[in-house]
Amino acid sequence: MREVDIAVIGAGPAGLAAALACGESGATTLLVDYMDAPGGQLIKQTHKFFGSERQFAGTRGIQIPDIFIGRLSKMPNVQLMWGVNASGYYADSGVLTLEDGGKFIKVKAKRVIIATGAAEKALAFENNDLPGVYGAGAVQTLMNVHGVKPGDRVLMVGSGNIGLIVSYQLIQAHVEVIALVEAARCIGGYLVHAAKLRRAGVPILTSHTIVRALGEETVRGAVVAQVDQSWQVKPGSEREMACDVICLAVGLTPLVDMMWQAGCEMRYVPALGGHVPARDENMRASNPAVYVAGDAGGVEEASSAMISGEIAGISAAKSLGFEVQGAEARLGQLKADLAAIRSGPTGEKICAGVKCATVCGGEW
Amino acid sequence: MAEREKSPDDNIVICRCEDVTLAEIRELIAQGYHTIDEIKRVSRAGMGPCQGRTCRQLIARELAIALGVPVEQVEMPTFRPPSRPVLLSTIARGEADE
Amino acid sequence: MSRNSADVVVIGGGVVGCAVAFELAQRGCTNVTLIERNTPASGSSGRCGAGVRQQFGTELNCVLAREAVRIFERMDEYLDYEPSVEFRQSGYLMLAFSDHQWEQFLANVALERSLDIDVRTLTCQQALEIVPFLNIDGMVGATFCQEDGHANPFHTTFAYARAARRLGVEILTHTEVTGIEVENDKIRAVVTDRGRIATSTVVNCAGAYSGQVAAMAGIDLPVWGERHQILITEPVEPIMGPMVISFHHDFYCQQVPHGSFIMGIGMPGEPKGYNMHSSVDFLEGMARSLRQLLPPVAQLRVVRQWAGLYDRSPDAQPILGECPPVERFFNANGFSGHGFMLAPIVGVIMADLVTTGSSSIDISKLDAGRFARGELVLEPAVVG
Repeated sequence: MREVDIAVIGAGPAGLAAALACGESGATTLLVDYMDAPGGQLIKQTHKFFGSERQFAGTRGIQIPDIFIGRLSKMPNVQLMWGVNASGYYADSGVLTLEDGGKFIKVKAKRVIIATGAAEKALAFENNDLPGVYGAGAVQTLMNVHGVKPGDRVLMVGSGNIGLIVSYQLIQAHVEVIALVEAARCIGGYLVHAAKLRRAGVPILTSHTIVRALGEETVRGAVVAQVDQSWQVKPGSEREMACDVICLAVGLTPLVDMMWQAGCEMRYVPALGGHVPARDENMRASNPAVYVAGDAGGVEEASSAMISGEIAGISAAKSLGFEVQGAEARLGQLKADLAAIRSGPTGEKICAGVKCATVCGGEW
Repeated sequence: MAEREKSPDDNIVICRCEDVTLAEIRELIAQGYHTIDEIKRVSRAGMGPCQGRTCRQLIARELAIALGVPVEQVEMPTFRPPSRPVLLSTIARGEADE
Repeated sequence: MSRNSADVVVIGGGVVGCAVAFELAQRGCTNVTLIERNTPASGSSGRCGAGVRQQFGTELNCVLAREAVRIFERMDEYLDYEPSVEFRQSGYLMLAFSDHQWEQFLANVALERSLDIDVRTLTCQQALEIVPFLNIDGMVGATFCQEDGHANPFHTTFAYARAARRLGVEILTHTEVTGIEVENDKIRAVVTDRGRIATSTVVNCAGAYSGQVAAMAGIDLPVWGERHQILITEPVEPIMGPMVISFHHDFYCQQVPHGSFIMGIGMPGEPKGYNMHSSVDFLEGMARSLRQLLPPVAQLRVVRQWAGLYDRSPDAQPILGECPPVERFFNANGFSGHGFMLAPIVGVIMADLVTTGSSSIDISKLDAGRFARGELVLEPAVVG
């Protein structure tokens, strides 16, 4: 059986940062991703990042993976595996199983960092299984990775950053966004993104939701309606809109099945997207061999993912006795950067959520 | 048992993998199945390829509303390996070259 | 909790406990409380392979199993259950891989036939007619009983529970038994984490935890948990009718009505215990045995693996009946892997014993006292 000090599952921003920190410590490190190329959600993020230089401000998301890989591929103690799916983690034996094409590989890992990201939430409305109903992530992949338009007229459901950004990217691809509906009274994402949509003439209908998808074989329209403060549809407010794509951007939920497999204590934290593993300030879960990083620990953004990934990587390496240069100072800086990212108005809920998910001072 | 009248809930799919509608979920809750595990066992919702990733949150929400409890009190089933379906012949082969 | 007393308290809401509760109520004993610490079928009943067979090597097991099948055959109607317990008599094909095993099979078949169980002995070629893609390398022969089959364990358990409730049984879920009050060898009450139920009669259907429950009444019952693992594949169109079993490989495999294949192997050296985690050793061992015995089925994808517990007894045979010195403490446990298939007849027998003191089938050989007497039941046909 193969053996490794630290296995990192997922090569999105969190996994890349974690693997780099592990590699730098000298620990034997394995980084796997089920896609054929690393980057996770970064491969679709054509926009420039903002924030601090440490989190690649001014760089487009799509360029960031290469920066990490450039360094990781030069480390002899780091192994990279793409197109390989992490199949299971067996906590009793510390064995990670990987599916690599037609091969089934077992790896005994002393530590596992789970950076598997998050997945689209589903929405329940009439005819929600009609072809033409997409998750926003799927639309973004179709367009930005494969250069394929999902349709010609899109109704966007959800005004978080993903809904706003994907709407704008649809417009850039000359796809009409007929409207964006948001069930809450306020727009969920950054107003700078919403402003771009308004300038492009896209109606943003708050306190509205989708009631029904119309069409026999595929989507040909949607019925939207106003909702009141208790999320109930206001009778008589229904109206039809013609569209051939209904794009659901109603939030992400962490992909945590390996944490459940590992027997980690899980907590339900709505602000973080659903069930997340309980963790200490260094991203270690209740199963001490397991760490979490990035959206898998709570849905935030790529910058936060890179920071939590680095925290997890440093901590995992230290826990195995590997010397990490200036670890305390680095951890302090990273945690300060994280606090800075979370200090905006939208960050308040995240902070509260993280507090619910964090066990302080090792008080399990 | 009398035929249940069709409602809009019949056209709302909760479990895509096993084709379980909202109407069926609500009917099971009304029959006294008050946990996700029981609903899964009797309707197969959550037993398909995605193993409940898509539907469990939706079912949890329905249970929370029906039982009048906060969603965090609805017990979540665990996840077991494999994270995605794997060919048994691949597992049998292991790392050997064929 | 609505009742603080009951004529009978049934401990354990698996298929056996629910069947017992139903059969008691059927006999007019409706002041019954069934206590389940999670939800019905959350234990072994909801994790098992759910095969139903009559092919056993001892007369008592054959008779019990035969009578259980008769109930399974009409169960939807019997329990007035919709949609269905999905009992399919698609048969059991049992494979022999040694002359010694084949001789045992022949002896079993003679016994089964004498008890009106319609079993055939098959050559390897004849076995291929039933499962054309079976790998018969090393096989000596097979036996086949068409009336054996498979049911849906969740629906079966829920069917009994609902029928029991309809007759007035109180089923308490998420309620754990914490003690049993016994005074002068008479039961006074069952204590739970939600209150006390005065009663004089307990039926211990707690599966792998039956030993712990019995200990609460001061009884030393040799029942313990033993992990067994199982997996299920993606569904395909029907390609295999019967349950295929090989004792030599400690292997079983069944295609269920939904189209998936459910299967298990025994893992040597599995310790006593309550571990229900899955292991990669099982997954590999299962995949290799499957590839060996039923090659095309290995071209399917496994969707999930899980584990459950056999409630093991020292001779891997059930423990049924009253348990002296404590009066009216009844056991229905220790099934060691064939509890699901016997549940319907166990329900009938226990209900008869509890209400009348005797049952139509004499199960005295399966009492808890047999171990101290050194009278273990030797049943050759058991599988992992």
